[in-house]
Amino acid sequence: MTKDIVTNNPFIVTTPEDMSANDAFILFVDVFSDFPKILEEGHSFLHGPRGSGKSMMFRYLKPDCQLLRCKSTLAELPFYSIYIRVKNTELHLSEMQRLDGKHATYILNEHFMVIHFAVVALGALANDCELIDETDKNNLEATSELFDSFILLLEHCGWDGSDREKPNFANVSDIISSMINICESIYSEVKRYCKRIAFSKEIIPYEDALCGYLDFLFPLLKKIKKLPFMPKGAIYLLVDDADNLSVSQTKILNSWVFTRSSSDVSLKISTQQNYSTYTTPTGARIETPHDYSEVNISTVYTASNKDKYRDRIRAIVKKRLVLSGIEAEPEDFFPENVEQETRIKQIGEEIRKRWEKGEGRGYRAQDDVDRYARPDYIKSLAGSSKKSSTYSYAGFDQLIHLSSGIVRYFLDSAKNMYADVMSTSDSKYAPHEIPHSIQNRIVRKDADDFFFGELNKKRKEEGRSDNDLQISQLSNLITGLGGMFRAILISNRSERKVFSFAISDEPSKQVSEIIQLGVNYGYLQLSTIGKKEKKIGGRTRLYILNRRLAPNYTLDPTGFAGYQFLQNHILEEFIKDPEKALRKLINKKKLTSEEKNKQMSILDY
Amino acid sequence: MFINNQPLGEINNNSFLPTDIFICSSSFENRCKAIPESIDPANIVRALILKNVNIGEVQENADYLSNLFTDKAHFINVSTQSCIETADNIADAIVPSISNTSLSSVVIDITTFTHESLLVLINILNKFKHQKLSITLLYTSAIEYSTDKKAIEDKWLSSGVSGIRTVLGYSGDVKPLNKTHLIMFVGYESSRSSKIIELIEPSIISLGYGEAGTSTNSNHEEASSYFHTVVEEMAKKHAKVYPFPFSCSNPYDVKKKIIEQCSIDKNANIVVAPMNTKLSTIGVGLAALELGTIQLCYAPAIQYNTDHYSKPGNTFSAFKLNF
Repeated sequence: MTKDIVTNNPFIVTTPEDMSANDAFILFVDVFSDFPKILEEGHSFLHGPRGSGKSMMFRYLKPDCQLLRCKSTLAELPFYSIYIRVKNTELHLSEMQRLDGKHATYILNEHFMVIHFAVVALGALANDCELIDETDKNNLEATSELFDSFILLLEHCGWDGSDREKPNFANVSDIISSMINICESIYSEVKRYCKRIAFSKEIIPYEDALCGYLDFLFPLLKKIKKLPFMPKGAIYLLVDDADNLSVSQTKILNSWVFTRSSSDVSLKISTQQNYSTYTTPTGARIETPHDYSEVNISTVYTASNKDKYRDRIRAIVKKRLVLSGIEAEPEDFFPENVEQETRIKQIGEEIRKRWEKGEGRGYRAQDDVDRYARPDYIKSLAGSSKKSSTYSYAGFDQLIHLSSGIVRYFLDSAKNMYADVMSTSDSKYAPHEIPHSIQNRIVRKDADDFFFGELNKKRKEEGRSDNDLQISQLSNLITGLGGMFRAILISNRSERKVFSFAISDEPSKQVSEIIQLGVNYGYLQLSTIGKKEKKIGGRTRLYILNRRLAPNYTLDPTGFAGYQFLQNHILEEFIKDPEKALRKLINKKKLTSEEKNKQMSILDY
Repeated sequence: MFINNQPLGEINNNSFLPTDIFICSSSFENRCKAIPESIDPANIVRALILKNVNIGEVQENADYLSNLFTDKAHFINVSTQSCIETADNIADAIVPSISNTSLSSVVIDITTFTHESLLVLINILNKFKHQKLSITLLYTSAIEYSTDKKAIEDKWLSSGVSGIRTVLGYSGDVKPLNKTHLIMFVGYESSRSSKIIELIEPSIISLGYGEAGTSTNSNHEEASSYFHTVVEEMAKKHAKVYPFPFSCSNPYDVKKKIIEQCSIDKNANIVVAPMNTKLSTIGVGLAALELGTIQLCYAPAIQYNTDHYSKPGNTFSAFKLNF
């Protein structure tokens, strides 16, 4: 990939899984200071939307990358990571639904997961054999003992294939390969059983070995950890995209977290915020911080750490530009629309002068400039010339804000911009900048695709399936929220940059479900704020509109943003008929009342 | 037997009628009525009509089909949300009858089955392949898809993917350490196909394109070529892509092509996503049943273009199902 970066598009995103250690090491921007728990021993959950960098973090933790980082031997690494990607159709098989509601579902699913994880773990070990002296007598003897223990563990789980003669192994790889072959044959048995139960209403007995976490996988990993060439620290099982597990499988994984055996084996579980349950098969609930630690990338990067996210993106972009032989700084490579920014600065100066005359609203002149210069500019486009759609979404900082805390959004847009420039250029050489007009065009198209592509096709509600109806309602809710934020932006309120809302009373079931759907699809991001009723205290959920949608409503994505407390009935009206609800809100001037203004506060982005 | 594009008005002159059992599927598409209303009810002993219980829009056409066959009609409730329910209800309705060795023929109008329920049906029928039973599959093509849009690039049949799952009975023999080779048959549903690629993240993609002259209706060739290009461009960003031609109207050609594509990497896990005509989906099912190692997947759409999905044609195709 390094070669591709140099010769092709610097912003191409490659699946981290397929990346070489060198590429991953070069491209990775170390973010573990923001997520220290991921590096430490102990079970952890890492939540974040698709494209937020979870898989890249896991890729970087693999031993080949860690060796480049630590410049040490395998045995000297602080931990040994095994990357286990839960692919959509590997573990979650339709046939397993035959066992739903029966005790057998947990026993067979656990066996299936355990063998799957064992194969992947042994596969990782086989790959890493190139990092050790395979024919070293100590290594060979220890691995041969591991093989004996492996067979013994399987026998205890009911495996009856041990009567064959133990081969005479020449090196460590041969031993590991032999273990993989045995596990794969056990794995295939499960698949064969699935075929047998696919169309059978009766439960067919499973007559082969049944391996569990505590009686097979955990002791096996402990034995692996004791091999002389292995790190002394814990083994980290990096379980990526755990949302792809079935509910039964999720409960089983939780029961492994529940064991609190993390000093030997730590589970690092990533989700796309769609993890189905935190209970175990026995109904117990895993709790943080007792059983695991938890990090939500969206919260880290959209709540109070805006500078950290900017620094992270800047470092990523800089690395990629350098690898492509482009010397420009990120800010120069993605220039602003100078004409627009000059005008905004002029408006800012006018605001400053008014503040100095005692006509300001904030404590400092700069507060008013930050709050009102850009919104006033957008308002001027809408008011006099009716050209608010010509507002330019260009400039490195605006692009960072539009990516809404998700690295992939930034890179995808940048990749499309770069490709656009190259397709219209006669030059074979890399461009030294992306013109602001191209930046603006691409991010507007991305916003369109993000929303209209999936949601906003015209539909009738009557007679639709439940799911289809919910999509339609979500589309309405987003239209209502976007329209309301737009109305606030061009109003005369003291705080006009509003991008998020909280519910001031009790949300109805319908509102809760539609909002959750918005969170699942990434249109809304989740954070928390203090409750409106300060005397009672406590915190409530804050829902942030994905800033990638800003161009659809000509919103200002930059800087600080306030939030709006909304009552449940307003959200219900948005869900039903957003245009009507917006007309009602604007006509009643609810959004411009001083009382409402008092509900607003500054929220770090 | 292979009948291609015969006028629907001539359907009753064929040797596959009369039949003991006629199976069809109700749909929000009016195309589901084309073959059933052309068949003389006297040519049918028993009519089984699949009805999707979680798509409200099918009810009107389901009632229409039931009225065509009056007391000979029986509904089979299927669900896009539960493949187990679908499989059990199909099996309950047909297995007792087919197990009766005196039964000699089954005719199935596959036109508006979901890909998933069609594959489930084929799997159930496969268990009777040693029986002397004549199974004829019928299909009527659409003259036009996405009738509300004229420009090819605006046409759409479905949007979004609510998830992806394996098709019951086709979980294959996927091995954790092998890379994934995705074989796709792309039709009009380019955005859904692209989403499947994103979700599966394969290392190799074989992308089938409809061979010129094999489309179920020549009107679709330009659109098919356009959408193939869209998906291919997207697929290239994810994996090594091997385009290959296939016949949109001949399931046995599709079966052969899948087996050929599998040889690109014999150590890869093969996952197949049928997204083209139901005729090609039959070929996918036949290949999976023969090899046993192929995994089939299905990605239900978030929404369908229910109001303007298709305009039915006035011809049909027919062929014998041979396992």
